[in-house]
Amino acid sequence: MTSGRDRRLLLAAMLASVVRPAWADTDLAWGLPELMAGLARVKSGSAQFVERHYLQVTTQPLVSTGVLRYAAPDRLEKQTLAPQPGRLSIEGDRLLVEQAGSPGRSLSLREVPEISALVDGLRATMAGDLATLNRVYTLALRGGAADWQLDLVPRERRMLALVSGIRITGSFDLLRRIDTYQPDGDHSDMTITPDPS
Amino acid sequence: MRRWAIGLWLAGLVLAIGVIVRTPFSTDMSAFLPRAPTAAQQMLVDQLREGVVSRMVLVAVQGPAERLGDLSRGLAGRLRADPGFALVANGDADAMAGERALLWQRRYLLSPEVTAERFTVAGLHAALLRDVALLGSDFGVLVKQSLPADPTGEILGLADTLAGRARPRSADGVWVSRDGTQALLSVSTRAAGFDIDAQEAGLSHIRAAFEATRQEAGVAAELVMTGPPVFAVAARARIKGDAERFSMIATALVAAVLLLAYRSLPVLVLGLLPVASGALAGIAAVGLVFGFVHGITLGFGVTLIGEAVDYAIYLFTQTPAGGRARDTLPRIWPILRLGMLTSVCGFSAMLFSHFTGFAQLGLFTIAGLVTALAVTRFVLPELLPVGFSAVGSTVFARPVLALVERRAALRWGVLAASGVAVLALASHPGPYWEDELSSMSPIPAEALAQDARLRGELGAADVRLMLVVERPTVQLALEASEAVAARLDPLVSARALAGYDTPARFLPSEALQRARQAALPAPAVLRDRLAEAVGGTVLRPDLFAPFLADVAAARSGALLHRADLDGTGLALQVDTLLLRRGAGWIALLPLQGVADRAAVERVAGGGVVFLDLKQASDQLLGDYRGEAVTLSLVGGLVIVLLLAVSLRSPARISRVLLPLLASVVCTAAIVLAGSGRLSIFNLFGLLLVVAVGSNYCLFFEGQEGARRPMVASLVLADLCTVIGFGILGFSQVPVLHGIGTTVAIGACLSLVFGAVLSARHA
Repeated sequence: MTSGRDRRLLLAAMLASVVRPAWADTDLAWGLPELMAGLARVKSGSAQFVERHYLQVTTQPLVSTGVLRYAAPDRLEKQTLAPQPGRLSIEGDRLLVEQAGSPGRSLSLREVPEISALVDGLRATMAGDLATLNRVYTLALRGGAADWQLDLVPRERRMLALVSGIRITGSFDLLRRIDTYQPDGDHSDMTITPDPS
Repeated sequence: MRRWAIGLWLAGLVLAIGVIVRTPFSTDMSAFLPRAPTAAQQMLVDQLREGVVSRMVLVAVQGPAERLGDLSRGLAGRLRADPGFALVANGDADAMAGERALLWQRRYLLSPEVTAERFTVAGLHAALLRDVALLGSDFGVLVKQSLPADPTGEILGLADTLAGRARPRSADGVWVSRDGTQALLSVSTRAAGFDIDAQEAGLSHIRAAFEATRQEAGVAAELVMTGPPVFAVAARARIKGDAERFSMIATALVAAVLLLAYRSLPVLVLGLLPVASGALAGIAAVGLVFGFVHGITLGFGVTLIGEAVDYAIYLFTQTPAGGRARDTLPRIWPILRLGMLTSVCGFSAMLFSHFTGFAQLGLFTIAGLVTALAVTRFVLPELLPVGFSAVGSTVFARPVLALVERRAALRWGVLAASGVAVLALASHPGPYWEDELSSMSPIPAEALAQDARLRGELGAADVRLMLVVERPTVQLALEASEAVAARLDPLVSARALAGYDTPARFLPSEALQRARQAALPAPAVLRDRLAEAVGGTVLRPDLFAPFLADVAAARSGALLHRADLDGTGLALQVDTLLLRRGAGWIALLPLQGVADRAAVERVAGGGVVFLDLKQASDQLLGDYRGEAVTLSLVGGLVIVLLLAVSLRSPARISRVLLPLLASVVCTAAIVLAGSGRLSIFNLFGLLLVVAVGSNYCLFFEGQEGARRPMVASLVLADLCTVIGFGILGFSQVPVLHGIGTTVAIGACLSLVFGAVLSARHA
């Protein structure tokens, strides 16, 4: 079964592959604006994720798996399937948290600025929203169009106390992996596998 | 010859001034409470006087987006150092460190989740599983730090309540408006809302602190302030400003008219002596009887004895050329006396009002008019230059004399107009009276809209509904609050209301704190249970020493007392919700977002009162207006009796009463047609119309034929009244506009109607 959303994702990937040579030939011409423009072209998509949290308070990494869904311009959903089902979604300014065994909680993003900045960073990257990213983080881009790394360092002190940096690794307009580093040495990584069409 | 009169007068003035300098002046709202207020009315005025809302200034700083954080922190820092402010909130987490530290230290006494079940093996295991799930989620970063000391997650719930419903958008660590262009702060003054001088000082401190911050930051920025203190200060300034400005214009115009009539500056000044003496006597009398004078008494009182300005005009203008004022007196004295008594009777009903404000007003007016007339009678003739004559005044008489000549024809016109006015009044669609307090506010609608916007962005709800409990002691009041809260919680879950505040949130009753202590297991027991609970989770077992220590400390530690909250914003929160009342204590539980009012009202009863502040204020206003109407009617009845006794002839009585009644009815109809509703200010205006109009009618009725000087004096007096009040009518401030237009129209009509209906055959 191929959903319309997946088809659009595929289309975007194909479109990206058509444009690729131009970037590959002149890497100088490729930068943040081009990356963002490419990401902005992806209007929707879904992907499987595996997330590992390496924490000092636990004896082993906490692994969770689930599905990421994105729909332009501002809807992002992170559905955790294991070990405990749960769902966190943002749309516009609303953050909806559903955890197994407790009623859903709908919050305004501004009620939890630390979380919102984290999730918003991911959403803004997917949306190719350079203005939002620039407002919340200092950005550093490395690599080329086919294999890029975008480092996000929070601007706000309060958030910096919780997250020292986020590294998003991708290829063309697909996100592959997200590493999150915390000041105390804990970190987490999330590998993303776009759904096959 | 009459030296003694002047001596007595001067002595009286000195005495009055002596009393006045010892009399405190007040702008306290409680003068507008009934003498036996209901609980709701008392609460309403308490809230207006000193409630938390009454002292909260909402501040917005507009500036470059990237500097808003600096501006907000700079301004907040300066204000926090200012002893005039009890609480300065700008969303800066560092600034809330005191509150958070207190909640953290006392979490086992404060958390509503602390029950014995939570600390069993099963309860702890469930909590730890929740922690693990949270650690693996996007919220992990938040949980991780507190986990070793707080695995049951008490602080999470408490931090939630601390944030309250005020959750503005945040940027660079401070609150900002939704569009990100303004930094937002809420500043609570230590002074109560009724202390307008202190509020004014507070606002200027905020302005100065902002200016210093702005200069330090070196950026262009703007300050916007709103909230009850801003409105109170602005309203006072606006009323004062308008009153001064319009009074100045009116005074200049009236002085010009009088100069034209008198052609003498000393006489012009002399003419003010009765009203000035009357005002001083009025203030002194109120001070002696009540111990204080309300600002409103002063404002309205001086207006209501405006009639006294006319006394001198009558005396001066009716003194013929070459004659002596002393010789004029026997002719006009009986009429002046009856006119003054008419007004005094009209106002005397106010003495018996349930409202201190009205009673003061009644006494002020009576003392003022009696004094003013006595000064006119005994002092002015001695001081008037010999041979004075108001040579310029006769020109004023001409138009009214024309009316008097044609009165037979005009009579039917006046009666017909009155009939139309009665019909218009009777068929007026909708309510007659303006009972919405807001429509009488001198605050412009744009300012109210801006206030609503900032209030919305800051989540600072306007408190309208609350539950109130009154108990003999603090502890009983807190326990009662907890009982009410226990009944409100299910309603919150059922979405009958969005939430509520209670003083017991940050200061639980000692009974509840002890119950929470008792729910905590002994150290050895807890250690064993925790070890068992951690087994089978991925959490490191050696992590939780801080938890064991903190629980042990809380279990046997001191209870949380009010003094422990000092130095934090929680103190203000508790103090504004937990108030001493007489020998007892009352606790307020403000309600937010009430969707099912009936369900919430059912919580009331058994010593719990449901209070709707808006309803209470509207009702108070309605009572106030209702009593003003009653008093006016009683006053009117007394006037009829007085005239009946004095004039003793139905024909004479009706010649005085008919034009008065006609002008009151027509004025009311015109004002009602113009503004759609009548307010209490219009009513005061009508009282004054009766006071001055009765003099006109008595003069017309009392003197055989319409003598030119007499008519000239009436026109002159009327002109001064119409100018003085007509100018006030141009003010946008409702009180000035209401009184001004009413009196100007009414005074004009009563002169015309008096000329047509009162004048006797020549």
